Amino acid sequence: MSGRLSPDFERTLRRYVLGGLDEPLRIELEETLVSDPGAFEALGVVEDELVEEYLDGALDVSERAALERSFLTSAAREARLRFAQALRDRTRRGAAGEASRSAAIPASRSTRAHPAWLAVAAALAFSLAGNVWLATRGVRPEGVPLPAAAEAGSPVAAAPTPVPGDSGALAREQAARTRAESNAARLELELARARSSVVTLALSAGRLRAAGDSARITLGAGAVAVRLRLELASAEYASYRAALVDQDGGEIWTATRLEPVREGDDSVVNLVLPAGLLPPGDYEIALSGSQGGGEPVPAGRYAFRVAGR
Amino acid sequence: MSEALPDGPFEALLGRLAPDRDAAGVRYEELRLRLVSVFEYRRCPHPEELADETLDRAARKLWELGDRFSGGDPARYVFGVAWNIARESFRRPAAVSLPNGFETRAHANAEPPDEGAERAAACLDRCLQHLAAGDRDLVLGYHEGARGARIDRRAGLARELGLTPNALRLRIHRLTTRLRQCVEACVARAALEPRLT
Repeated sequence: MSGRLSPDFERTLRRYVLGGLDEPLRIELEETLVSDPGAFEALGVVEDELVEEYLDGALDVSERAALERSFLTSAAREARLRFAQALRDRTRRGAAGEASRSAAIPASRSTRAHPAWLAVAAALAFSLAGNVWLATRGVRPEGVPLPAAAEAGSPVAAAPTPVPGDSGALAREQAARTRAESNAARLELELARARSSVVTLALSAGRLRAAGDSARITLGAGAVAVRLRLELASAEYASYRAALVDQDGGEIWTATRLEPVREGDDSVVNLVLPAGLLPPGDYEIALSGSQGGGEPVPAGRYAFRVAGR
Repeated sequence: MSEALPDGPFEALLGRLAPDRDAAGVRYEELRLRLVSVFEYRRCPHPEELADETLDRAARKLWELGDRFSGGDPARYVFGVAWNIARESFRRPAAVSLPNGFETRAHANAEPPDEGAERAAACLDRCLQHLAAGDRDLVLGYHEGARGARIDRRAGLARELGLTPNALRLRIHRLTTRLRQCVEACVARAALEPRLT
């Protein structure tokens, strides 16, 4: 099976997950994925590793956006993201020899104003490049695939009724139970996630880390993302760059092409960070602005402290 | 109708998937998962229902074809059926999002903020205990630490286990998939109880 993980095939799978394959190649690959268990398993490996890179903050801006747009499109897949986060949280707890989990700050107005899955989907799909809250999650298909040659069936009809005494009934019942459990789990996780996995913090420029003036944030065990609302003194630049700076002054994550938005009387830049980037400690967001592709100019520093999980 | 496969469409499909009944059941579920995944990538609404519909229709067709079906592995045939169903799904009305400001009952009666996450964490602990000690250590060791340290540790793990890096990646994928399914089922069970005991 591991023979399926050749560099070329992995590259193709990665492009598929990120939505970058041309339609003919996409159809060819999908046929392989359905009919070849080894290929599908290789896809699972690539998906897991992309999720890991996402949580590590190791994807560039365009890849992050592509993963959110093309892969994190269902509750089940978002559950995979949460599971990966929970697993790394578990390794941290194990390493630290502690099991305490501090309470998360519940998501603010955005999660209260929408159904649970919408709030979470919106937070995760929050575009770092475009900075637009997705108030709804489109479920329309992207493109219409080409017809396949093999089908000769009739229009949709009712599901076949099991023959009495059918020895397959047990297998079907088990499958149905598994699906029911999975659906219940998804619902539960959607609700749990909306309450605890997106944490919001509003920051004003000029808070001084050294003076102990940092805003504080506590990340719960299930936190996946942190939304930072950076208030601007004035929206004088068309585009901003944000750098997450750790307490040693090193840049550990950056986002570019951030556009300011109006929220009431305020001009703000919204930013979503993977919670995995933020172990307890002191941080700053260094914001710089640019106009018309010019040199970036410092536009503010926003200090905050992440308390222990 | 064919006399060769008298037990019905589902039996006809299982019979094509594997001669052994248990193995056929496993292959059926695997095939279903693969279909769900492709429908999800296509952003089809209700991918699970579409996968079921696909398999039902393919089973019925295989049953009707009986001995006239000349293919060996029916998965490619099922794939063809899937496309037609996908196209049909595109013509169905799209799901309509709830308006802004709508608050679900579940939200109005929300649990304490971190309860769901705590339950999931408890389930993860429980499911980890169900793994063999070696597998548990492997999964936790594989995912532990910062990115740079993980890469080094994984190379060491592969050497220790006598595996190629790709074989280790596959093994980890299988283990974490099992673990994730266990956690999802545990959370689902716990959701039906007042508290995880």
